[in-house]
Amino acid sequence: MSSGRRRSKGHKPKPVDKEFLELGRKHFAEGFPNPSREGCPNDDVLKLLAEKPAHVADDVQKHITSCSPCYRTYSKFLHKIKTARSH
Amino acid sequence: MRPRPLLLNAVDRLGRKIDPAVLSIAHEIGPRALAYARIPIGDPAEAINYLEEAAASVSAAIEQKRCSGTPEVRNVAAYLFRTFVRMVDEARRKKPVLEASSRENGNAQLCLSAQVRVETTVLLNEVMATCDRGSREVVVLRLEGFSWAEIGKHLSISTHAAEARFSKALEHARKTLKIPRRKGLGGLSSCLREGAGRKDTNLNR
Repeated sequence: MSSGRRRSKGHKPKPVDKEFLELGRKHFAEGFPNPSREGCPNDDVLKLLAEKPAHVADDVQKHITSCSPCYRTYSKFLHKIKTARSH
Repeated sequence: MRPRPLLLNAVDRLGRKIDPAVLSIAHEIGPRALAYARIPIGDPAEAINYLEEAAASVSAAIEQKRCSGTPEVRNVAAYLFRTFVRMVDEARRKKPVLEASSRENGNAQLCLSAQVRVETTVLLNEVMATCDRGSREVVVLRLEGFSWAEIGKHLSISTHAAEARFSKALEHARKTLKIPRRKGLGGLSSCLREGAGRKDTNLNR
């Protein structure tokens, strides 16, 4: 018999976890400035990564976690998708 | 302009009763007492608290003298004022010590939160450097505020798999970097706990 607590499948982060998640998000969104945009993919590729992650090469996925401008663009596309799905 | 009358309670902040006669005298000496406390205490409300405490102490002392048969206090007003002055002086002496203590406490908390921030960033860098693509995607989506169900749907995996990948990735990084679990700091440990599957939840009890 399970002693673990059951949670609803779509539960949102608790306030204390939000702090950790916010720290992490801020780290990737601001911690890797890349003013010369060296090695950055096109916005279309980032959009595709947000929409269909399996269709994009591994390098691009890795790039967004080491380039804050690309991370922010990817984040913008992700949130557009999320909003569209929720309506 | 007439001075505003003092509003003193019949009990002090510690819940001790003030004798009505002493309370009446406290009302009389109130303006003088507040003027004395203006510089060392500053806040008139706090000074009134001290005056009520002094009045309660004096009430208790008078009652004790009455019961024990020792001579009564001749000048209650002067006795009350001296008690009040003693309390204010003691509070003034303690004030810098309390302020220094709270400042040190605040600095310690600041250092700790800075440490949590560093640990969080190091942990996430490790995840991104060493984990497989699936785990990285789950972590990024979670950071972006997606629920487990939304992550599962987005990556075509189950909700439980999304949680388990997140948990495993962070646990692996934590073990590699030997970062201890923390309770109630930045949500680091609780986030790991929440992300953990049933097995980990039991382990963390």
